[in-house]
Amino acid sequence: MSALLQIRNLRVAIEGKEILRGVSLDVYAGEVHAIMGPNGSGKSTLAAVLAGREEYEVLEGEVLFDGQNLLEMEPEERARAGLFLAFQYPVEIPGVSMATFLRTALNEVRKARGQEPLDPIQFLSYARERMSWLGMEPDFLQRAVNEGFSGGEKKRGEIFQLLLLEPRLAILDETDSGLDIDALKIVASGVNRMRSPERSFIVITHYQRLLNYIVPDVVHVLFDGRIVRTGGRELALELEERGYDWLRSEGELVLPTLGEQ
Amino acid sequence: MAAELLEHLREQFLRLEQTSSEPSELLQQRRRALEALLQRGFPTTRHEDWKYTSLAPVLRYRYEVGAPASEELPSLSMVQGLPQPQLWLLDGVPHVHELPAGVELRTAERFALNGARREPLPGQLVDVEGDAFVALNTAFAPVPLTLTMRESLPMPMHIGVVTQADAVPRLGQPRLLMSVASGTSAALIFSFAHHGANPSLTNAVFELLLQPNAALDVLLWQDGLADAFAVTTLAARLESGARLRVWTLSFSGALVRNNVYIRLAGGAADAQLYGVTMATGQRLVDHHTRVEHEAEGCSSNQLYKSLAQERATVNFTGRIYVHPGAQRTNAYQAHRALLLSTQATVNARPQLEIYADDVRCTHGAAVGNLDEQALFYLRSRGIPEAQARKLLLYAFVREPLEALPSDALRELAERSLAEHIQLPIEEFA
Amino acid sequence: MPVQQDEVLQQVTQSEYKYGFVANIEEEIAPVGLNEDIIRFIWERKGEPEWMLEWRLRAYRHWKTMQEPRWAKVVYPPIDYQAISYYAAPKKRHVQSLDEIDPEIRRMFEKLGIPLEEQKLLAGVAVDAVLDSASVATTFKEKLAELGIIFCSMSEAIQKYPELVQKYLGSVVPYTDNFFAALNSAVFSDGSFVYVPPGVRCPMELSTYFRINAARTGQFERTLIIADEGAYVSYLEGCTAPMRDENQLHAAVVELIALDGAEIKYSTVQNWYPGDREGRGGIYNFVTKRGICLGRESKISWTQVETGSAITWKYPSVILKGEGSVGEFYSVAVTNHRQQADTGTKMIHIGRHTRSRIVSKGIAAGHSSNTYRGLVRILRGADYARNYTQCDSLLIGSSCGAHTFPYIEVLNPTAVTEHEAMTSKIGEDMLFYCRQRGISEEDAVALIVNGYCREVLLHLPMEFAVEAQKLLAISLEGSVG
Ligand SMILES: Nc1ncnc2c1ncn2[C@@H]1O[C@H](COP(=O)(O)OP(=O)(O)OP(=O)(O)O)[C@@H](O)[C@H]1O
Ligand SMILES: [Mg+2]
Repeated sequence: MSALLQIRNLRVAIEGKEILRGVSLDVYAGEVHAIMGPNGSGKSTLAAVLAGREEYEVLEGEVLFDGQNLLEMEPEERARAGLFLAFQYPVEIPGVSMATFLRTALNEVRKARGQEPLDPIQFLSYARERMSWLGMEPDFLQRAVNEGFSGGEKKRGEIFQLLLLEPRLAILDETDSGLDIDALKIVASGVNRMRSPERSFIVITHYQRLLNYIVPDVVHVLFDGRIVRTGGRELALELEERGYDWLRSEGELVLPTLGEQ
Repeated sequence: MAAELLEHLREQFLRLEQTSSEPSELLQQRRRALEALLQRGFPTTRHEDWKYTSLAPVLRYRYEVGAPASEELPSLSMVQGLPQPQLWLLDGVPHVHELPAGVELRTAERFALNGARREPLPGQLVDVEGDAFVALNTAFAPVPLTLTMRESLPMPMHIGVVTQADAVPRLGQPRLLMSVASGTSAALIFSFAHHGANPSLTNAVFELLLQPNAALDVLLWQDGLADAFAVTTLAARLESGARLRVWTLSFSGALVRNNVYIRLAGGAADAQLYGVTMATGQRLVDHHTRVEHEAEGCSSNQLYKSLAQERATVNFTGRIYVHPGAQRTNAYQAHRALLLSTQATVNARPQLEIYADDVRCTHGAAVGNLDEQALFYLRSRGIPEAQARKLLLYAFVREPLEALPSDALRELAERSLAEHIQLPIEEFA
Repeated sequence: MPVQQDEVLQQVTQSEYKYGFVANIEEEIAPVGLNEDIIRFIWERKGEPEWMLEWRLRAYRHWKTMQEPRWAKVVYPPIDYQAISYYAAPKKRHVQSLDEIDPEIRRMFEKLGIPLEEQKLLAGVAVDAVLDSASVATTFKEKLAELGIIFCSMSEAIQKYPELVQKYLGSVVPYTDNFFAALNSAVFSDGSFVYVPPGVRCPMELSTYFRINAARTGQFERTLIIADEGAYVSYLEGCTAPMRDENQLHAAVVELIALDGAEIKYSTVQNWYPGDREGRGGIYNFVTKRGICLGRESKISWTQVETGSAITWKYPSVILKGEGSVGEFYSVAVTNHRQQADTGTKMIHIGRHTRSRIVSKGIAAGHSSNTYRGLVRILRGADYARNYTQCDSLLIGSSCGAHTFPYIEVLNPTAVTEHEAMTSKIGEDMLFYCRQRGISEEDAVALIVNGYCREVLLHLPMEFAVEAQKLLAISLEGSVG
């Protein structure tokens, strides 16, 4: 069986500056991959390119999602195909209620899956159930999208959307940052609840702590636009202990190893 | 009234034209300007640009346009604390005291010289025929000048603009085309003064060309105009990466109109306009700004603060104009005024005209009174009310001075402002 | 509300103007052109009293001395006022009850979503239906009459309530006011009249639905609303017209009068035919709307959603005369393709402690031009007057223009005015966020624009808010991608 997500030698630049300098990665259905790496190494860039942000320039490489050429798809097509990004910095949309926003999104995704759209009542009960999993305030759906949310509320809102839209591949970009320890557990439990043999995750984080709760199958280190290390859980612990400097000294010599089933 | 003045001007023009030895190109331009002026006349309040400013008090007098008989420098004390001007413009006629190194001053005769160094006529950046005051200046300015800055100036250059109306009402018309060379930086201080017992109208036209990456600071320091009239038009064109800052300190003059027109013609240029206005008595101060974003990635900022007291009027009209294609524009504009008397007036017209979509343009205009709570706070600390009031006025209106290029200049400006608010200067030490 | 917003998005599918059909109704149409005979013709057809003829003729003579205003930021070829017909009315319209209405007219209004049977109407909305120059039906009249509320066509009011009409007609917008007001005064043929007696809260929304049907005619309606002491009324106005290649002129006048403690809420959803993508056809909407808060503590509130018309020229205003009176203006103006809008408000503060609030949202797309123009004037005697203005513009695409021209004139030192404006494009980040969740770009734009306008839409009565949201989405179709 081929991987759900296949990234081959992806090179990406923004404003003429090369950020990703040849990233290759396979994520199979059911796997959880963690990506760690110092600030500015290109983690969010990778996530953004996968989600289809247009300001990034793909210089080289190929990305297949479920066999489809991902880079040729519009952002909404990717979302409908089951790719979900939990944003590092979710944007505020004044005046648009979460309920409106999410029902619109959900019905688009359902349409793509050949499911019937949910009417407002069905939507409410569906959404409320998932809100309860994350211990969210009932007025959440009435509030404008991310407007005036605390950092933690925004992150929780992203995971809530993940629960709602049930994607096939979820990319979590530092969903743990800014969360207190209880919130972290809640978020992790939400993610774990979604784990299944059909669903994959890419978890971007700086802290191995999150990986205590969301246990990854593979850990990658992204350094200066390349994956310089790939290992198991223990790699995260090692990074926590030693930082990234030792990788710097090994520098470019470390060849990326691909995560394999 | 206006008709009488226009006729008086026409007669003077005919006389001047006969004795003129100027190159014909220049003379033709003067004549066209005069004809445009005679044809259109001076604007009235029905003219959108002059809606709140009646020129009636200005147009009452029959101004003499010729240079005064005496060529001697009067003993003038310009802005206190500033070094004496290096260049005087007396009724529009230049008197060089001492030019800084790298600065070149040339007069009209050079404009139409034969051969390689043919200079463009002045009037590239202003509407010579459509704008009555530019036309007036073009027709009569005694000595159109170009001032070229080839090197960076270590110190601000001071230019004294004086109109002398000792014997008769006089029209003083400086005309200056300034050019700042690529990559250099300079600061120019224009201090305005009126001299004599008769009314005067200073009608200055300054054109500024900023070459790529040039940086220029300009101060229009209107402190010595007493009850005279002044119309100043400053028009600038900025090439890529150029930076211009203009401060208009309007502390004197019975009727003062300041036009500041900026064209951001090259990418990533930046313009900052600041204004501090103190209007007391029957004064009328009218600020007009127009900032045109013509190229991509430019930024502009305007911050004007005004006090209108007694029977005074402050008008502000500011336009941000973003041309098609001027993407990634950032433009900001604010006029905030305190209206302090039942007889005073503030009119504001902040305007946005936008033809590109990747922009962020904001403007704000507020008119109000002193913050009563702040006043109460100061009084509760034992400061007498009158004093507290002045302190708050000063604090409100000085904000645009903060960005002045040097501490020394800022202190001077603050001192001058404090004097106009009649605060003892020690309060600010 | 969120639930309905969703509905809106699903309905954004067909991009054509839905109301562009022409109904085959027999109408009497005045000869083309304008002169004193035509005014007599209109006057006669309407069987008006003598004083109306005098008033009309005075207005007409004054109009002839006036120039069409050209200061607005709109461009259009000269209008030939002699090429327009100034009166068109259905032949079969003198009916005793709603049941007798010409079935053709009934069908047309039904098609527009305005059934003329009371039982089919939205509960709580009384409708006056105006077709071309004439009012064809007014619903719930009897029910309102029980409360002493007069809601009828202007023609009827002139016949039945001449004292009220004579006292107030032209008292807020005199015929000398402007070119189009003068023209309207000379030739207006119908419109709505409302009088709410002292202390009465009108229990239902009153609404007029304007429909232009005939070709080469102008529509010149006149609306007069008087809220007596302590009265309250909420009034809605909607409008559509067939798609035609020629431009049609609509020059209405609306006058509102609020006495002591009275409140008038006037809402408009303007959806005149905007012309096609290339700017052919469409309505010229040159309208004078003004209210006066005559009484103490009175309030007038204008809410408008402007999506239609080829050209919009309109500045619903409030004269704040009564002490402590309040004026409000909430506006959404959307322009797309070649539409041009120059709209805003005037708040004239005369009385002490008067307050006004302006919230304007302009959205420009395509090759359109969208201008906010507003005046806030605080006169010498308006002690402690307050104004707050927020006017924002959104640009969609790089070929449109969005402009803001406020005038702020303050003559009183105890007054406080604040004006803020911001122009920007729709946030790329917002769009991307929506799209990452599977929402198409066009829907994302509609969603974000609706959110952007929310503050204004909230001031519309419920039924209209839904309608308005749909309209916003439809008006912006084809503006992205
Ligand atoms: N829009 C942009 N314009 C210019 N540079 C950008 C842009 N986006 C990212 N970059 C640059 O690309 C590099 C990688 O950024 P990225 O956000 O992918 O890092 P990251 O690994 O997610 O870092 P962090 O751990 O801090 O979130 C950084 O140097 C950043 O400054
Ligand atoms: Mg990041």
